[in-house]
Amino acid sequence: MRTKPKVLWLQAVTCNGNTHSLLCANPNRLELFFNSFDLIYHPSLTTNSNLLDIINSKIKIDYLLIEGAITSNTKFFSIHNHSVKDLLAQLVLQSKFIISVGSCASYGGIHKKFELNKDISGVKKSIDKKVLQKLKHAVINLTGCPVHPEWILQTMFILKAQGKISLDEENRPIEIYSTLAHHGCTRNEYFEWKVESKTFGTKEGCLFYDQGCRGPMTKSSCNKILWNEVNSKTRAGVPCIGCTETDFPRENMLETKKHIGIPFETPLGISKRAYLSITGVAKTFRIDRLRTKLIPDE
Amino acid sequence: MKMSVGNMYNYFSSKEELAKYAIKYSTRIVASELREVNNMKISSKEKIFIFTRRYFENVKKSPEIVEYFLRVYLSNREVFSNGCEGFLCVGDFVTEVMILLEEGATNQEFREQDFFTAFSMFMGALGGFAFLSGENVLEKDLLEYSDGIAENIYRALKYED
Amino acid sequence: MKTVDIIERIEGEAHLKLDWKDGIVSNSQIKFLNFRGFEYILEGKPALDALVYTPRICGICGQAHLLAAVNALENIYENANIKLEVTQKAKLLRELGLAIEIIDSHIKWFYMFIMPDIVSLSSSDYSQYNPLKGSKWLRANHKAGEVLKALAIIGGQWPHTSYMVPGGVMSDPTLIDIATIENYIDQTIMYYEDNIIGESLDNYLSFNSVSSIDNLKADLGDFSKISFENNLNNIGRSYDRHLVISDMLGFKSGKLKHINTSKININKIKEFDEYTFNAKAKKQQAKKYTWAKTVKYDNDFYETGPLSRALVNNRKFIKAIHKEFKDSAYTRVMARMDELGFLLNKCKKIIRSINISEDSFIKPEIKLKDIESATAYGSVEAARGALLHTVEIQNGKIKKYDVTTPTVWNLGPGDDVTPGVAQKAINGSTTTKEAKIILRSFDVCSVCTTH
Repeated sequence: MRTKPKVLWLQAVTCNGNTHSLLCANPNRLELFFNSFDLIYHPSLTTNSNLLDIINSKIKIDYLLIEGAITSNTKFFSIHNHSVKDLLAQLVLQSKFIISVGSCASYGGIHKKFELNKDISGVKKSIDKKVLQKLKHAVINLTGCPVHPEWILQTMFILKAQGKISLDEENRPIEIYSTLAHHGCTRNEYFEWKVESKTFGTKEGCLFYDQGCRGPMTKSSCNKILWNEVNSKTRAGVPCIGCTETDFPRENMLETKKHIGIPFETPLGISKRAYLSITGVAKTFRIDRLRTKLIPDE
Repeated sequence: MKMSVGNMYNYFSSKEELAKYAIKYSTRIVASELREVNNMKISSKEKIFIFTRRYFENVKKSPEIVEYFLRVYLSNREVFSNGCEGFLCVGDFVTEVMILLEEGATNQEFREQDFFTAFSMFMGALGGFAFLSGENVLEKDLLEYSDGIAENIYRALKYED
Repeated sequence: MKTVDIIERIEGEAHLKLDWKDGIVSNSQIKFLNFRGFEYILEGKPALDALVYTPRICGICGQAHLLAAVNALENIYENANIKLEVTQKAKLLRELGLAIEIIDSHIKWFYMFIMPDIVSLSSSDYSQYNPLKGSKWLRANHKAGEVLKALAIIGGQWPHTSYMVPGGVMSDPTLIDIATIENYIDQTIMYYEDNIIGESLDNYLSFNSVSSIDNLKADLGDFSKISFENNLNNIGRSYDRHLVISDMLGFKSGKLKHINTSKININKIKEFDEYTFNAKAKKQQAKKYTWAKTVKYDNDFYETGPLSRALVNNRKFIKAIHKEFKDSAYTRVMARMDELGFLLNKCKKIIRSINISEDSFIKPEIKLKDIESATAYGSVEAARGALLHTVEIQNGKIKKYDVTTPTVWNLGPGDDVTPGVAQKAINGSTTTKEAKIILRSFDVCSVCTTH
């Protein structure tokens, strides 16, 4: 019987949201995960191992998963009396695959906005350049705030099966991050015909024009692989805030930036001219069906 | 256009089709002028001045096109209601105006306001003046008014702290 | 003799420093050494962005922060004398989200953050509670995840949605959505009955004496058995002063000092930082040892959380247990698990009273950016206790944002003469294991404490 690949989960500067997201995975898949991999240490879950012992013993770790941003500033942050950057540096040397779980680990995320600490960054940026060059496998970034549990599980399972995974220019698995959050949103028809949601709290209407929805500019699988197996924010009427992209968090995330009524940013790869032309044409045709409530009032 | 009326109907199935084509044609001209100006790497203020001048140059060169727009299109909207609804035939041009306005506001050269009020400021000034020139009441050559009109448009749209 | 132990499985890490004298703990310090600076991060940000930032203070109780933030922002309108209307439907959908998150938190806390420690006190075979592999651990996680689906119906996802907004909520559920939410609650009730209390919920809610503990089969029965074997019902007592900050969810706000409950005055809540690190200091003063602040109500230390809520609200079973065992570690845990039944029952009532024909959202007349300046607060009972957000805005931007979390009330440092709530509970312990279990009985959230 082959031994299971060893997984170590390190929590750095984080809210722990990615852990809680993982725990929301489909229970059968999560059980399969725990049975297919040997999670040797997780600061919120395991009870029979010590992080420093694992580091000192230099045992080989197959998958190093990091949740949270990295800093060397022990005034603000330390794990077991050590700087998390130092711990990461040691763990990297004994690990085969290094996976940044969530936006904070990928590029600093929300915590980059804490200006009193000048040294906050993602995992990749805090690894010594020489060490980075020698790594057999590139650091994998699973951006998202939090990350979706399936993005973790699918990445782990494909690595276990194939030993490699295709990454995009942000080092994110292409197969998970090639679609936009926009793809699969149940409000797509409203987007097509430019029927805007006039306010929050409606089943109808597209959230792009007024509520700040970043779906059309954000790489993620949120409307392809549903959250908690049942829904997505945009389906529920909550605008996408673009948390898988490196410009997150932005300003005024719950409203669309416009100048003279015209959206400042257009869907990914679509020029402003193209967007405005299509919008103008779509708005010319007022489709009655799309302007009525989906479920009429009693 | 120096073509006989009869000959024209070899190309268009009806007066209505001719009318729609004329609008799209004239709009395309001003749209491509404005697109050229939009693509220039100059300030939004300068774009207003240059576009205004080009618009009036077009009016001067082909007054009948503007005449057609003002007198036929605006007064016979029902003719255009099938196939030229709303944005459809003037879309290219309106898109370019949107781009000009949005860029100006992004640069903080223009202040934030509702799109339609900004649009009407722009088009109202240009169209209104083209109408006046068609009435033959202007004392000076059309082009001599260009900068003055542009200045008014700019001041109306201008950013204020 | 001094010992220092690193505590994990408390949503982050803490260092427990114990001073020993003659074999018992004479003094204790709970050191939270990690600081992410949310109060600094929020400065200068547009007010509504607080709805995106504050849930990210915590991965397990983010929605409590969201509700506190929304309450604070709506309080701004109130204080600026601007009328703001929120429908009953929106209020209920917010409460429901809060309740569901607490239910998830309590289930996970019991099986992941304390039972492994409890069963290790016994030599019997409790391997079903083993993390990651034990059937009870896996089932608990499964069921906790299921109840969160109900929240995902209203909020789109969990963790981290911002579905609550000044003026109401962003979603507009259908009748079938509401019925499905109730299905998830019913599933959770079945799980609670079969696995946690070993009793029907209706019967359980009628318990009113200590003798009813014997009726508890299932996992709470295991917990009680091991607790009594190890004296957990006699250790971990603190000041037995309790504070509940909000009326939501049928909790009654108030404080319990000795026997009488009385109303809360927010202005009597004060934070101190004598022992708290200074974010802007180059070198910390020697006496400072933690990022957690000290918080007092009317100059006294108060405990907050499910036990406090049960007592202020006069829930009979916990009142009886408390009468017998005071604010021991055992009582605290029982109160938390009792609250699960209370909340599941409450959720059903909330669901039945939702009128979906009401608006989800009514647009405020004025944008926050058009309010020149105002100060406001929002308070919520979160899973672990009283949560308070205080905000000051100027021209729509956040000038100052202050967060006081339940764990600050419970595990914050004491003052020069008086130990904090958890410190008092831990002092007098005879073993480190005992001290750690007492600490855990408070249900600690390290990331929230220091934020």
